[in-house]
Amino acid sequence: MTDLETALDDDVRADERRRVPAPPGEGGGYTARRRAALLRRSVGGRRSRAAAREDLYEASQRTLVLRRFRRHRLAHLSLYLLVAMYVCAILAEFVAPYDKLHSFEDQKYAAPTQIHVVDEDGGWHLPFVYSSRTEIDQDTFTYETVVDTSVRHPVQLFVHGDEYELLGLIPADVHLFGTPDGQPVFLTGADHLGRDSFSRIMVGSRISLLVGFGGVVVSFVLGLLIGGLSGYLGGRVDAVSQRAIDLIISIPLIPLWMALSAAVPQTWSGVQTYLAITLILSLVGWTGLARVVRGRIIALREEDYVTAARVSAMRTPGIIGRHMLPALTSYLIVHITIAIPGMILGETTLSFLGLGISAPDVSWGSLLQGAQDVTVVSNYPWLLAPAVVLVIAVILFNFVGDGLRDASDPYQN
Amino acid sequence: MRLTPTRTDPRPGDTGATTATLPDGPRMRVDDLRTYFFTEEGVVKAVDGVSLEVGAGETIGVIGESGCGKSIMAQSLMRLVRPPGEIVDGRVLLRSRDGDVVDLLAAEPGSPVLRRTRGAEVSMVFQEPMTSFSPVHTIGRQIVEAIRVHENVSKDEAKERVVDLLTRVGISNPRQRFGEYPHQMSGGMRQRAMIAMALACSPSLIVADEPTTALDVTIQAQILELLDSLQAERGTAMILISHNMGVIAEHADRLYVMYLGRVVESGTTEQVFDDPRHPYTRKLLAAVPRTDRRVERLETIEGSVPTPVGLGRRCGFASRCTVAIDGRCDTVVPGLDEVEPGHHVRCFQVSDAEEPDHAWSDV
Amino acid sequence: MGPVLRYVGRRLLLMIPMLVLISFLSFVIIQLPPGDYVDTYARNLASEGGSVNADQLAALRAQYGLDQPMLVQYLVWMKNILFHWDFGTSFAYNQPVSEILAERVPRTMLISLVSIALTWAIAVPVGIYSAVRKYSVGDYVVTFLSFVGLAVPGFLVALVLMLLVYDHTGFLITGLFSPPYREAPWSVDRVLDLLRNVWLPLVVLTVAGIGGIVRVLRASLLDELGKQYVVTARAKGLTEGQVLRRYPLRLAMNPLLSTIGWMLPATVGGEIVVSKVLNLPTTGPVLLESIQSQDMYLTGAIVLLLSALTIIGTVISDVALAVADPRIRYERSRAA
Repeated sequence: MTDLETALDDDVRADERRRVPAPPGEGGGYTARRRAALLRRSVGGRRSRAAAREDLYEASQRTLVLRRFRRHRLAHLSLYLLVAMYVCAILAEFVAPYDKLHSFEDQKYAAPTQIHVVDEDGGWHLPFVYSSRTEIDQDTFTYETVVDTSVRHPVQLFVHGDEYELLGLIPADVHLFGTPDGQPVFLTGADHLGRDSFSRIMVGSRISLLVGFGGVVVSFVLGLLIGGLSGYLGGRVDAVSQRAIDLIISIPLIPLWMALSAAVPQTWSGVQTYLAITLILSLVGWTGLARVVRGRIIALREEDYVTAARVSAMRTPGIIGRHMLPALTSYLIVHITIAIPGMILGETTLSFLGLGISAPDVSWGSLLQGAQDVTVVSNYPWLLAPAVVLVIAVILFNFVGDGLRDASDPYQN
Repeated sequence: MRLTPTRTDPRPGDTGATTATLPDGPRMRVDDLRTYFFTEEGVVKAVDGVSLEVGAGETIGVIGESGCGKSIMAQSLMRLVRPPGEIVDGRVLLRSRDGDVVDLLAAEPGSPVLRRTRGAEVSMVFQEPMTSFSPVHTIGRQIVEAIRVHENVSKDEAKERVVDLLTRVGISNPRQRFGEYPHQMSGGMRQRAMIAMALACSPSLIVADEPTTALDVTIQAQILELLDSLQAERGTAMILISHNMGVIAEHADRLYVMYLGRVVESGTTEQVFDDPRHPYTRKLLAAVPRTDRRVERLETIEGSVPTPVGLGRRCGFASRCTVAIDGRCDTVVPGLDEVEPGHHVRCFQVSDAEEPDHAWSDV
Repeated sequence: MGPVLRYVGRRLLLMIPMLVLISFLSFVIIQLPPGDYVDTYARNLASEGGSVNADQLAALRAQYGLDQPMLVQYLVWMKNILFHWDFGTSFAYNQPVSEILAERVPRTMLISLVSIALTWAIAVPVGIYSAVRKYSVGDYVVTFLSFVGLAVPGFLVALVLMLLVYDHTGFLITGLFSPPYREAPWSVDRVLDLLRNVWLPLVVLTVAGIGGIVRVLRASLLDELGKQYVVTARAKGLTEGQVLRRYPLRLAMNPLLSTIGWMLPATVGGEIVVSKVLNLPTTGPVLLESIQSQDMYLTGAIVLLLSALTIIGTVISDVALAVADPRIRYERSRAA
């Protein structure tokens, strides 16, 4: 064979090798099998990945975290939903069709109103509800919802209704939806006094959702301060604060809550009581954060870059602030997203026991008091609606927290 | 127009044989090993076509900067790579002590062949002895386990052997150390214990992945001497991985220079040190500070090691090479060529050999 | 073993002042709500139509020693407990506190222990599976369920379960026993009735605990699995199962040891709100009632008991952790 022919031969063989992956049994049984599967999987995704890669090189830490978080679709979606919930809470009176104390005659324990678009004769209309009211059934002594299909009430957006003060300042009477003629639309039914459950849940969400924030801020500051100093300074300060924390968490929670909330004067207004409850919850809650912060600070204290900062004569607050805080941030953020639902659940429990929010204020917990009797709930299951909302809110927080934790962990892969 | 690659070893595609063969002599031969990491950012080709050979009793050195893939290669030899890393191609032929040749990459995960090989035929010394030992078990217990996994001996007998081993690696008070925990020992002592564990079943090959990098300079020398003497005593072959030129020069017979997952130069230590042909090797050697000359500035290599992902067909070193040929070095992968018997180089400045395409060239 | 004993000794010694402090704190807490039992008594009497004048109230207070300053009351209380083992009398039940506790605590402990055992028996294998088979379908299901489990408060689960049972079978669970069997003597029927009722609190309590343990175990096991010593173990030739059991699992269990400490007070106190909702004859409902009615000695005894058990539990946890993780023993001893 001439050189050229040999060369061409090798060309052909090289081409063949390029087109066909090595047959199984050749160059390794298990490895060969994996190779075939992986090859198929990888060739496809290359183009989209190539594009993404370029900007990754230049991205800052925060961008990387955000990008990873955005990819975590569940967490991403949960964040949007949570924000929506909070917006509803802030604008509760607008979103809710009725005032929280507005009780309708003949609507005790009304079932959730059905919104139709097709009437009995098959005709299409804009969304509407039929007239309805509740009556006591003489045999079972339960309230039955009676629907009158002869009258249609259109459901419209931006209707005028009960007056309120938007954000506590601006007087208004426009609600997101409702009927123009006053026929109640109970999205989640009515309670034993004929009050719209949905409206009360909306207004109650303000307390339930926001009590978390206030409490978290307080426990955040306390936990960060005490945990940070304790961890950084060590020695006596550390020992004393650790013992103090041990003491505080030894006290059984419920009696502590009960005692503290019972100590709140009856004469205080709803808002003041609510703030007091927040404070109570956070006074106990800061210990968790303090411990985590202390643990991280102790670990970080030994890191070389901290020693470098100390050697360069930086002052303590500076060292803690500029150097250690960034490393803590991911822990802090995650802790907050886990702490808030804890607060929410705490407030719910307290109010459920009758110790937290009291009438006329509402929170999800106080709303659930109406669901204590199983026989009653059995007849009117919509009484559990606040529980559903509560669970959804907590789950959303947990998803976001988990997503944040996964996204900010640089050692994932 | 392509020239034929002038490899002398049979390549996987050529023989068509279903039984692997290993000519008499070598303990282990690695053919075309490819270990890739399948991440969200793309396929990272940590090891991309590495071939090497270790003879009985021989010490070969694998040298390269951090990130060149040498540790991954070492772990691939014993199938210790975990997802998202996967060994996608190649053969690792090992001649066991009874003479059988086995391809470690063909075995099923968790198979008796693999488990037998790990520890009894091939064992590994890791870089960081503190994290490589379990913190909640005593040193003695962990080494005893290494023995009892492979051999049916009583606990007491195993203990005696371990105490013996500890003595042999130069640990004083071996009986006391037997019951101690890793954090109670110094770094040097821990590394000696790790070596003792690697030797427990008298393997025929030890893979030492940067065994001295985490230790003081004075201890480094002791550990390396220890390895040397144990080798001489038992005829164990060794793959010594390091980024320290001095260490490699002193203790390896032959060496492989790795860059970005490929072997760029290989040969005997003399060949490579006296006559480095690859630009990277030259730079590496030039970067070592010398005590016999004064210089204004220390030599460095510009830039840093890129991540081997999405690089396409090019020489891995092209981005940092001062003598790279535009249009050639960044469009085709150079192939390994023999410039003198036993001395191979992968560079277009030295030879026109090209690396043929393979199934993964486009990924 | 030496360093361990020293560590235990130190912790025990530290425990004593803590216990003293906590006893004082407990007392302060029960005194926080304004008023005292005599007020409750007067209120109850008024609602029934009776009335009491101020002198009689004052006399009652003097009789029970409720008019003394707080510090004196505390000291008297402590003296009785420590020297006479007398926890006082419950105003509401008109029984010695110790009797009430002797009746309720064993029951609480039984339910708690069974549910804890169940929780761990389920949660540990599930947690291990979830970590080892990360990102598998099973893992997602488990993660989702434990999310839900952690998000839903126990009393809600209890309510929903009670509702479902009532809707589908008409059977109403109102406590450990149905009304006809409550005071009845033991019989086969009574046992059957017990089983019909008790599964609900057990399920509620178990479900509440599983989510937490699974998440902690999964996270810490995943953490350990990525560490270098696991690679070493594999390199020695162990099977995957051996590697998992002997090394990362061993270390991953350590964070769970700190939850052991909490089990002690939880066993005696039980899940308070759940117990109230399910009307269980355990310590929980009694505690709630007594706080609301300012039944001082009963409340004080329970709060003291729970606090003390928490502190003791923490010590036990720390000791267990020191035994399991040699690094801690030596760290502490060097620091000491």
